[in-house]
Amino acid sequence: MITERTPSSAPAGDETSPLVLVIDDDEDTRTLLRRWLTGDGYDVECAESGESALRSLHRMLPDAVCLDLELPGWSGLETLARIRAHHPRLPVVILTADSSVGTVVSAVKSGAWDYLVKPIDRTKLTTTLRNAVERSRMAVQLAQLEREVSGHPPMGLVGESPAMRSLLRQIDRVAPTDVTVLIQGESGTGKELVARAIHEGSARRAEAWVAVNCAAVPETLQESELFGHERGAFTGAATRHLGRFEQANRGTLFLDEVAELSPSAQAKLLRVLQERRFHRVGGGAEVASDFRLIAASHRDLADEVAAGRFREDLYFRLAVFDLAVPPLRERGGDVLSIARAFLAERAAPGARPLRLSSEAQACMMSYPWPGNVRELRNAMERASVVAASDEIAVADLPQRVRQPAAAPAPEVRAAPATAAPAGGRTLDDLERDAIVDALRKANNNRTEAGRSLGIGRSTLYRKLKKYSLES
Amino acid sequence: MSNHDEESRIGGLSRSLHPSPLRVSNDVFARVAIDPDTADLVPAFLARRRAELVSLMHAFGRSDYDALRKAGHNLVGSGAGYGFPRLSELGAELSAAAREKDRAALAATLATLSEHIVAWHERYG
Repeated sequence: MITERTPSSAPAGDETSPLVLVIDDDEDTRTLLRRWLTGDGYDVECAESGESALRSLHRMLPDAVCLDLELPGWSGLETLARIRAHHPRLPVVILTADSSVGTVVSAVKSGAWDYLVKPIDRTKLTTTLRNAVERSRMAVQLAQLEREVSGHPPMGLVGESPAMRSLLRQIDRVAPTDVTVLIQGESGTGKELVARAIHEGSARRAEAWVAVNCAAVPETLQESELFGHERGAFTGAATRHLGRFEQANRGTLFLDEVAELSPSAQAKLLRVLQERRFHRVGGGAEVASDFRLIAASHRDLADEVAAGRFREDLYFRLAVFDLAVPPLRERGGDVLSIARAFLAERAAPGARPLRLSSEAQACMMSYPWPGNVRELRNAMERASVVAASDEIAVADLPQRVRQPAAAPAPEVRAAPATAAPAGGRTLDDLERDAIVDALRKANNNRTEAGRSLGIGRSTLYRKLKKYSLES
Repeated sequence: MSNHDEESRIGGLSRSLHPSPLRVSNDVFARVAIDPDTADLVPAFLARRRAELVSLMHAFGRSDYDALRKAGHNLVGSGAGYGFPRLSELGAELSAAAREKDRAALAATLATLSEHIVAWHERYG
């Protein structure tokens, strides 16, 4: 007999398919559940033991888990406890062949979202999972709402672009866990803001937030800075100094520019991550610290590993969950949202923030913002100082920002040498090329070249000197 | 049950792995309900169950009750899902008999199990 298939029932309302992790040591059960759930619109990952599930859980961050109670190695209940410890919001549906009250009570007491008795009924499974995923996603949405209602989303994290929404979703999902996070992104993208948002969304939010810029600490002092030192450990160590790891006890330690750590400090950091214990420099006693580590780098750490400048084992310890912060040029209209947020921040209490003229907006949207959010903040600070009215005009923007969108002199725009600016060239490069081209066309007649460029003779001489073209 | 009876049952179990010709009651097929979404998985599933019968016999022979119990547990989980609710029931019986170390019940369940699995494999495999 062939039966009719169960109708699809994955939760709607989110642009991504919900991800379910199935943990069962029986291959046939995994295959069956994968087929059922895939047919119902879920993405499915499988693990055959609690140990392998925990290893991959941090990376995949599923919306729900189906967990068989009878597993080799860690039992189902032990696996459940470990999942709950690291991912308290993640709903876990227990699958059990044992429907006795004791088993069910133990599972529910251990924090299971629900349980299903084997053999699993497909309709019950899909209904239970739909509820579990909805709960999981509501928890994430609630965190987002709480952040919005609290009125202080970190400034650089403002934005509605797909790249930013994806990042915010990942932050909300990883924040309440206790896993180590690696944040990578260009300079100025707001990596520390992301780290701070993770701290604020965690159970450690009331505890210490300790941030260290590893690039700013001389190599010889890195170990002392991070792990502390005992009195007399080295010349000048007049008193005992508690390192950043100790200061971050029960809280979060943020290591910015972690790629700048010396090989020796990298080795010590690896040991701390493995053992959660360390020695102060010059100290004999072991010190324990309960910290959550968030690391960041503007360099691609995988590249640093490939180049032999960063320990591979440390990389894998740090990149338990990695987040990529998008550059501002990939965030579309977020440029204007963030700019308005900066202007609102600078406005006097009760006063209306400065507005952006439509020309200024166009100019800002066409500029690539190589310095990212930091450059945008600086540009808005400058503009709000120089603006002559309640509206920021193109002229109020820094020259490098307004130049690409401002209409250049027709002669310059028509010049073949400058018609197609190559990527990475500066405005000075373009200006120099335009002058050289104008001089060539004018047979080195400077008056004529200046006229064709739309500048006076004295201006042309000044620029010739600037670009060493006087001869 | 005497040892002679038990050996007789195991012999029957062994013969049922190589049936020729196969004569089974239509009851064996009465409750089979294969989901079209998973129908393509059924032949391989049944082939694995048929191959597994040999290891179950060996486990029975060496009194490896934990292996029998675990195999029964897995059958409970997968049988009905692939369209064979009777397989889940037999898995539960196997698991319970293994927990009790009830060799007579184990032998009877293994014989019934092999009869069903072979018949299903012949028809749906």
